[in-house]
Amino acid sequence: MDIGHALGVVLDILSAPSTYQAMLRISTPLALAAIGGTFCERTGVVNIALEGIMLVGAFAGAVFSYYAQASWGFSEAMAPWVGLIGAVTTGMLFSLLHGLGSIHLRADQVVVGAALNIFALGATGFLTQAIFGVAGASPRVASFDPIAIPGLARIPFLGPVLFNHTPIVYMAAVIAVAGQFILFRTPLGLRLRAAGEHPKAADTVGVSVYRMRYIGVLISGALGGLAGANLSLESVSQFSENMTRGRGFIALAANIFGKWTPLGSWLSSLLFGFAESLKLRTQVIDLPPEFILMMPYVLTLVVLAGAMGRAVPPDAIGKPYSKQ
Amino acid sequence: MPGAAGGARRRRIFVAAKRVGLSLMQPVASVIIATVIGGVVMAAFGFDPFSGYAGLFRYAFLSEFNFTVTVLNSIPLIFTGLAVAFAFRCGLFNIGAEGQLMVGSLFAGWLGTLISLPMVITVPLLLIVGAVTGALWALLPGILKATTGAHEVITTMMMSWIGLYLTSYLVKNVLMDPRTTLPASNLISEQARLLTLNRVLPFLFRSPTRLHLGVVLAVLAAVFIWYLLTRTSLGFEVRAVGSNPFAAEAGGVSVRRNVIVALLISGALAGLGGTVEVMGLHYRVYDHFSAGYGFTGITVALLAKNHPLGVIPAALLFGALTNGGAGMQLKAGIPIDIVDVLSGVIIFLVAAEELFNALKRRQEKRSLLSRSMGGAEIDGRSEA
Repeated sequence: MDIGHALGVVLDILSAPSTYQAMLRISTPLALAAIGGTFCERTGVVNIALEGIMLVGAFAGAVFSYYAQASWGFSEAMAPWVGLIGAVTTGMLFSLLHGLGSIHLRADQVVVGAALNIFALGATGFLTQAIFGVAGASPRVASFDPIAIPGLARIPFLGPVLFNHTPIVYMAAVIAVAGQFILFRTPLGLRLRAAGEHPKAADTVGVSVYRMRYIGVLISGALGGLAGANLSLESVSQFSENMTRGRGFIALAANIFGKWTPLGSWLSSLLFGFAESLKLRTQVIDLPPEFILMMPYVLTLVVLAGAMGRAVPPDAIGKPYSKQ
Repeated sequence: MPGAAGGARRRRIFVAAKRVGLSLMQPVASVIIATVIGGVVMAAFGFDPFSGYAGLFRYAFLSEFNFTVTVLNSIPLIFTGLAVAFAFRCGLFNIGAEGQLMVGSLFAGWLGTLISLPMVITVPLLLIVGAVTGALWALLPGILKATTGAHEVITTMMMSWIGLYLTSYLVKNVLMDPRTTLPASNLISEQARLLTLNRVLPFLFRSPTRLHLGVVLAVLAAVFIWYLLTRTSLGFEVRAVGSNPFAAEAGGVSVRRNVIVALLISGALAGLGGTVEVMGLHYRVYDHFSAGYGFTGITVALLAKNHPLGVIPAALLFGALTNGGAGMQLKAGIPIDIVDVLSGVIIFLVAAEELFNALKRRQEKRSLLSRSMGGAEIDGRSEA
């Protein structure tokens, strides 16, 4: 392949709307989970359970959507919304376990997260078989269709890239901006961050560290669940065993790469999503997919090595807080 | 006075036994509680927990064949359990044993396909290569922790994923055996293989077994790590850093150096685990042959409370669970995933020490309070 041809191929890919559309689509579950992780870790609770939360969310999304249509009399268009609510609720309930272990029981937060990841993998696999009678995957369930924003969707290039997506993709962008605002421009955000930076000081001025940490954990549960719903109700229309495939860990990386900010998490997820969208065309650009898949992790290490300004985690991250 | 000396010795033994008993209590209780929870879950979904557990037990232990498979399963887990436990003792959480294991086994396996020197040279050489490359995969996290303070949970995890993709790429594109359809390397040479136990100790086995000398290496590794931790100055320094880095530094122990050394040893153990698996069982490197050994190693280490010798029974338990899970599925139709549910509950309970210590701590708190009311204030000032 001569250089001129290669350049042409690269330009083709870079100018195709489908590349950027795929980027937004692929980055959505990463971004949601990463922002959830940002909130959780800003309050001082390490969350490596994102993978498990996402998996549980994906499972609950599919199950709720399935029963909404099959038994509860919802239409095919409404059923995925029931699934979405189910995914978010279940994600929050599951994250409560993380909160219980990490906050009240003062256990090692990383260990509790690891336990929940294994538990989620086993529980969703077990329940898939127990509920649907087959191992490995649920049946097809009602899922979301893309919603074209009237008018905007017809703008050349930007239309297909930005304005013809499934609902949760839009939500991710809104949540990123809103999350940034809440975390850095509101009293609640200040309290959340105080619990993670200097819990003792926060406690002294009357901020309940436990409550802030539970809020952080629950937000990660809700957003992780939503990320899961994106996988089982938008990317595909079913749950399959271990369908998160390490996305929770990439989300964790995106959170760090974004330096523990919601907008940063979102932008890093977009970058990682962009890299993965290139993977879909590896035959064309002749690069082994393994090297593209590695990229998020390599970049995160580069950031942690201090090559792009220091990434400073919240000061009290990972430290259980005890009042006395 | 022989009587008094005997009494003192008996008392010492009693105290030691009590200590061992107490430290065993929580892991054992966790396993029992997890078993009960698992049984309730099975029953809730219409499965028979008794025939399920009976199937598990039968497939895990009863019959020579089943028991050897359980032991076989536990070999890599002993190594990864030791890897995680050793790092833990230095206050480090090596969550990337999976990648270190794959990288170590890949390079050892690669060399094994290339050379055919006499066994006495080939076998140690491969073990060394596996250990060294596994250790190298943990070097960067060690250096980053020592210099920028980047948390090893993140860096070892990132390195692990990079390692998994790298080995996957190398297996598929460089080492691939053209005669197989599976992504796998060529076979390693005969001289690079660990002997099966029925060839070493024929009188112990009634039939040929796949159980190999790796089990001996695993036990030796556990004893060696126990010795290293408890009887050498290196072990003392590692533990000093693990229990209180500030005090260690003040006492002249270099935290940075020990952090790097501990992660190197941890990575070497993980690398060895994969290497032994390739040399003793598969005789080649499959893409993603590790069934999450690095992650299960975390569970094993936690259940063992990071004691190197405790790692052996803990690894056996998880070896038995994977093996017995198949029996559960066959005998009672219970999805094998229940094994992961049990593991998750076990780790959660072992981690949630508070649950078990609540009573003890409440007593301590009461005595602390009665001793000094101003203690909290002094404590607060020193921390601020």
